[in-house]
Amino acid sequence: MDVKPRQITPREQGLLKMVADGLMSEVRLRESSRDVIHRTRIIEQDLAHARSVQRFLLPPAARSGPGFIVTHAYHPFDAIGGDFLDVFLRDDGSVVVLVADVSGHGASAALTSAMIKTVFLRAAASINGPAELLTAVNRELAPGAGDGRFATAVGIVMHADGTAQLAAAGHPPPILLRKGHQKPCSSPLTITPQLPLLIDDGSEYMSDLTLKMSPGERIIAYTDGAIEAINEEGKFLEISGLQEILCRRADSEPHPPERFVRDVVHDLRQYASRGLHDDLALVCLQHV
Amino acid sequence: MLTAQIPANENERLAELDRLELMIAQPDVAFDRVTAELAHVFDVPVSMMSLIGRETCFYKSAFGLPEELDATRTVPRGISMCGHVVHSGQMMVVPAADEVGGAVLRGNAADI
Repeated sequence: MDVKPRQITPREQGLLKMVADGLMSEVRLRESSRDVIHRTRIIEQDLAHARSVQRFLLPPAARSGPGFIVTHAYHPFDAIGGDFLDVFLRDDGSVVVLVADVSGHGASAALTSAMIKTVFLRAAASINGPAELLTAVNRELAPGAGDGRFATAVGIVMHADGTAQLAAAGHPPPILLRKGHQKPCSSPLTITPQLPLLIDDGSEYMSDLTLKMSPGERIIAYTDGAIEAINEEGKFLEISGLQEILCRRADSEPHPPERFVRDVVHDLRQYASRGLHDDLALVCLQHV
Repeated sequence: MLTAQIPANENERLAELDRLELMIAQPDVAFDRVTAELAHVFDVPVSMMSLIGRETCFYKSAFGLPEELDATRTVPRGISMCGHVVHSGQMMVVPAADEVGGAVLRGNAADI
């Protein structure tokens, strides 16, 4: 038994008090850390579920109808993305494609893209052209869009005979990929810029371009994540770089159509050696 | 030794203790470093960080405990000096637990 009497000075008492306070701070800090970890796990589980839902909302990897095959790739930057793509086959044999890019990333952008899908599915069956589709999406969603939220989009309606109508709302131009060894192998399609969606609910969009595709020709619609891929030197891929990739991969056929978009995305990832820093959606609409 | 009185906020205190998940007997380097350093600074053979549960006093961290007590790190609350500190809510200085504390503290678990 320790029987040595001790005296403790006020200063030593102060020191003990400081130590006790420090221990309590440590305890509280651990509690906060546990809380943060717990909440983070819940958010991660939530996001994983949301990611599954978002993938479920995507169309099948390849869809075909009389005169066309549509394939796509979708890669969100975060667990879920604000890019949107969908494909709708109509009873008259035509196909409607919409590719959109909601500003921002993450859950709020993903929710907006999910809302675009609801309008798309409702409107796609009855619209006369892609401009009507853009107008419908904008009219229904612009009033509820938050401050600063907007979406760029390109709509395409392609008929069984290869006639394609396009309209765009502030979106990068789709690329026409020719078949065989025609020169030039590819060209960006010139579409008059129109206001992005969700900014003005009174906007009326125009169908700006109609073109007749030959069998084997493809239209590639994409979001800016594709052309804003950055390489080691900090250089953007840009549209010309994407054209090079498309032509190179087109030359290396024959491939199943789904393989083509996979290979293109592979090359985009190779270019962006430090990883893509934006959502990426890419659709290939081929006339057959 | 007189058993310490139960503080008025006992239920809330125990609920908080439970929520903090501290009554777990596992090595804790951060706390053990503190108790060891305090023993050295104050030149005492034993230093402990105690948590007072409903029935027990649990030494979350301790330096210099006899082997048998170090293995369990637990004593009945009724013979714990720390129960008096919890009741008073203030620092308590006991120069010689077996003498000065007299009837109140003699026989406490720290009489080692």
